[in-house]
Parts: sequence; structure tokens; C-alpha cells
Amino acid sequence: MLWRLVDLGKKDPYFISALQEMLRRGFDEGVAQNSIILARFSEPTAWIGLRTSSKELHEEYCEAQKIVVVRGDPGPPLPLYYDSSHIIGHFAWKPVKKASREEALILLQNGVAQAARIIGLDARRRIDGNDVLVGTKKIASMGMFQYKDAWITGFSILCNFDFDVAEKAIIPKRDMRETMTTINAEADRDVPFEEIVLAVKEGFESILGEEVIVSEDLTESENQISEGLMEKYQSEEWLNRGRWSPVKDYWRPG
Amino acid sequence: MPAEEKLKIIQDTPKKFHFKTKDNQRVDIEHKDERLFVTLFKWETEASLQIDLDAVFSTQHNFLETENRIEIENPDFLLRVYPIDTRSTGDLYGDSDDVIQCHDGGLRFELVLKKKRPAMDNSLIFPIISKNLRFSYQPFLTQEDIDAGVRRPLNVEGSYAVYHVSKKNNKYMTGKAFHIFRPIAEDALGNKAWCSLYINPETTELTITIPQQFLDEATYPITIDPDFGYSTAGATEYTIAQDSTLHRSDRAGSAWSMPAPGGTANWIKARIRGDFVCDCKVIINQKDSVAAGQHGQIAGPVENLACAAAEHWEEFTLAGEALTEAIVYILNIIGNGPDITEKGKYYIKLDTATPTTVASYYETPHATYAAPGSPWIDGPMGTTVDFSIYCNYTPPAVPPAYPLIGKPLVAPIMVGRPKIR
Repeated sequence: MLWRLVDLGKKDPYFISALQEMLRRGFDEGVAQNSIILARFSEPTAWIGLRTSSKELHEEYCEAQKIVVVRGDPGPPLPLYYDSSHIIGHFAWKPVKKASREEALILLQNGVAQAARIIGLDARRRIDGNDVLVGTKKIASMGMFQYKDAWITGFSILCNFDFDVAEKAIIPKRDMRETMTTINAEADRDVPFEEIVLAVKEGFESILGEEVIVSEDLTESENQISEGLMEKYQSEEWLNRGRWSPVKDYWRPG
Repeated sequence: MPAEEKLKIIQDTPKKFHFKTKDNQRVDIEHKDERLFVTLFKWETEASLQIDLDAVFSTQHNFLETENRIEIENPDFLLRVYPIDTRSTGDLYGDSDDVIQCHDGGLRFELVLKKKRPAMDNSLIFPIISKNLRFSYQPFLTQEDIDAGVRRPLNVEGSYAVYHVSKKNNKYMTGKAFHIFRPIAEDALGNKAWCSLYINPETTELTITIPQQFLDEATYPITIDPDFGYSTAGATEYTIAQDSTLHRSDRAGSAWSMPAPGGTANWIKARIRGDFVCDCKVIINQKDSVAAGQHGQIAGPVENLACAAAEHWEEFTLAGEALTEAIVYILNIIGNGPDITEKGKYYIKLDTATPTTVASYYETPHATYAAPGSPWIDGPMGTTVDFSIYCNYTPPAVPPAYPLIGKPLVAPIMVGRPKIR
């Protein structure tokens, strides 16, 4: 299967939060491809996952600052803050030969690390973790989930980051300034998004040993799947309770 | 004679049919008095639920053998009755949280409302007759429940778990007979709405209520299809271990009164699953044996390492500990919190129980896996649950009819004429 890189640019937060499920359904329906999908949240967003709760956010601050709260499936293991100044990526890989979680994670880490080196940073993958580091701090973090015989995950590339707002929006487990850095800070310049996207393309080509085709949009089938998922990802039931079905419930208390 | 095919309707007489579930329980379907009756049996005929499907009257029925269903119809309604196989909530109604249900198959009846009837009551009331069963309502989860990690599928909220009125363990396993899931109403355009389900405390009626707004706005025909699923496992989940950053182990157990004549414990099984593998321990405690809320340890802890992530019955081998009749024991399980990574959880299955059930216990959030408390100090849960954990025990051998001195207690049967000396 060929590899593609899709640069979606700025996208609606609900659309981005649905991408992991869109990719799973895409594999089920036979329309998915090996992909690196890059996007930026069009609005400041607090992103929680299936296993996180809105109680891990400063909800009043988010509401006052009009920070959109979205939930992924599975989404991030910890609440994350995003604005349009950094890139959220999605990785989907259906290997020809069965691959382990570690192999999938290393592939993604190496691709992103190589992209950072192309930009001019001394980046490397964390051997005992899920990050890409410059020095001792991460400029990118990722997980890896198996879906049938495919590997799918979201990952983030920290191009720039508003630590002040993030610390007020989410309840972090660790001091973000101690553990995170950004591409702009390490490169000591404002690196254009176009340069980062090109670096990701070339970085993965270098690691994969094959061409990565670039496109600016998902396929029509994928967009239809995404459109069909919006009812779920925008529903109060999904956002508040992490559960949803298309069946209307007239009986739920409260 | 070949074994009967499971979940296949067999015609016994012109108006009587049956099928067997995957765990070999019998379900009868009978056309009598111009309507269909279904009877779900469990533990041969020891427990049963008969439902009089009196919403549809007709002198005729249709046995569609190749489609494996029975139909009865009149100008206003069509009723279909058929076996169902194991299915998932994702497939059934598009639940984002996909869970397998009806592990042993079950029964569905589909009631089709052909046209709008303005004067029609939106409640359908079916007379029922139950034998040796108790019906436990499964309430809607609160936000607090969800934040605590409780998982209950949407079709289990507002449903009924059906258990033996008094027995569990050995052949009764958890005591669960089957589950009556919350029905869905669907119109001709595919719009769906949950119905409400109610079984009265006297267990003489099963009521399905369709939302009036749905009835008013739907494109007809509308189909309502309650499922009766056979399974010995609960349909809800509580955590027994949570991720390593919390180091949280939870200890969960259900009490029961040991029936006569007592026995020796062979093994315990618990229905568990999780996001990753997890070490677990089981223990038997005696309720309140030390003091109120302090339960002395009778057996275990018995540890199984790396219990699988996929949902399964995990068996823990005991050491033949004595279980005395009329004593109330608590079978309990604890998961190894530090074993779980990346915000994962490990669960035990359960159902909310009727208030008259013997107590249940749930020590959270700081049960100690390494050395579970002995005695176990914990008060009963405010809402009693039936955790899916049961034991197998061997009753004592029946003593012989002859006393020690060797004479029979009853006169032997004489055959032929006695010899006259």
C-alpha cells in the first residue's frame, strides 16, 4: 500500500477529534490508506480522550475563554491543549507483514525525528518512551493503538505553544515547561508550516525508503465518513459522558 | 441421535415450537388462544418466564422454517418471534462502546405497528408468569458512576437482569438466568428511540412504553424489538484495578448463604476483562465473623497472574476449604492496580441486584493488592449488586443407609418362601 501525507491546514476541532474513528471505519470499509494526516485546530481547543474526563480541565476557564472542548475516540490519554500554532497529526499504517506495537511506534517516532532534523534540530526518538526529544524535552509526542491488523494513532508536533493558556485550561500531571519545548524555540526562528509539512514528507520518505504522495484533502469516501461522525462528536452525550448511539433517549434522567 | 442444532426452531406439534440456546436451555413458542406465548426456561424447568404476547390476535400463524421464525399477523400488527445469536451493542444499535451480549443466544420478539392509531396507548402490557426468578432493574448511570469508571451499555440502562430467586454456585453459577434488554423502536426511515421497560413488583406484567413524541412523529410502520439474552455474566462493569499513576486496586465481592449441607470449595470463577492483562486474587471471607463489617478470611488469597484482557471466566483453584451450611460467605476479587498502564482499567462484570439480595461489598479506592486486608473490613454497598463471581464446591458424601453395627435400617425384601427349619 502506498503512503500519503494529507495536509488539511486549519480544521474544525470536532472534525479533527473524529479522525481516529474515521480512519478505523476507513479500514473497515476498505477505503483507508497508509497515511500521515496533518492539521491544525481552527480554534483554541482542549482535547480529552475516552479515558479522560472534563474534570481534568479547568472548565470555567475554558468556557470563559471560549476554548472548545472535544473528545476523541480513543483520543489522548491525558487532556491536551491546542491552538492553531501547532500541528496535530494522525498516523495510520496497515503493514503488509504483521508488525508489533513497538515497530509501529518506532516508525512514527523516527519519521517525526527525521523531519525535525531536516528543519535543523538535533532531534531523536526517546528510546524508553513515546516522544521525540530535542535535548531532554519533547517536541512531539505520540501513542500507538492497534485496530485489527492496522496501527492508528494521533500525535502532536509542537511548533509553538502557549504555556500560559495551557496551564490555565488543563490540569497537567507534570510541569509542562520542564518537559516540553517547541520547534520555533529550538530553531530560534518562526518556522513556516509549509516547511514543517515538507520536512515531515521528506522525513518519512527517508525512513520508509519510498515516496510519500502529498494531497490537500481526504478522499470523498473519508470525508463522507467524517461527516457522518459529526453528530456523535458534537453531542452533549459524547462530550460529557464519553458514550453515544444514534438512538434517541427520551427517558434519561436529568 | 444427533445433538439438536442450537438456536434453531423445531416444530413439536402444529402449534408448539421450541429451540435450544447455546447453553442448552429451552425456549418454547406456542400458538394458543389466538396469540403467541413464549416461555424461557433455565436450569431445566426449575425457573421460567412465560410471556403472553397478547398484543396480536389471530387464528393463524406462520412458521417460516428457512427464516427460522414464527409470525402472527392482523390488520394492525405483525408479530415475529425468533432466536437471536450472540451480538454486539455496536452492531445492534451503533453504541460507541461496543460490548458483546447474549453469550448463549436468546429470543427476540418484533412487534410491528403497521399504521398510526391516534387512540392507541403508547404502553404495551404483556401478562407474564415467572417461576423462581427475581427481576433486578438496572438504573441509568449517574455522572458520578461514570467518573468512577462504571460501564453500563445504553441498552442495559433501564433493563432487567433476571436471576434465580435464591440459588447460586455450582450448576447455578452466578444465579443469572437471562437479561431483558431495553427495547428500541425504529420507524420506516431508520429513526430510532429507546422505549422504557417495566416489570411490576408482583411480576405479573411486562410493560414496554414507546415515547409518545416518537409515535406522533414517526413514519410508519414502527418496529419494537425487545431482546431476552441468555448469559450467566453481568452486563455492567466495575473496576478492580486502574492505571499505574493511580495505583488503584479495588476489591469486590457478593455475599451468599451457604445452603445445606455445606461442602468443600474447589474453585472460584470470575467474569473479568480489561484494557490490558492484569494479576488478580480471589478470597473467601465470612461475613461479619469478626465483628459487624469485619469479615474473617476463610480461603485464599489465590493469585492468577496475567489474567487475559479479553472478557472471560477466570478460574482460581482453591484448596478444599470447608464451607458450612447457613454461614454467609463473601466471594471476592481484587486486581493489581500497579499492573495496569496507560490509563487502562481492569473490570469485573456485575448486575445491580434487587434490594432483598444478600449484601455486596466494594472496597475502593485503596484496597491493598499485595496484602489484601484480613479480616476484610468493609461495609455493605448502599446499592446491592450481583458480582459475576461464583464457586464450585463439593457437598459432603451421603452417609450409607446401614448403621455402624451392620444391620439394615429397613427390612430387606424377601424373595421366595423362607426355608422352614
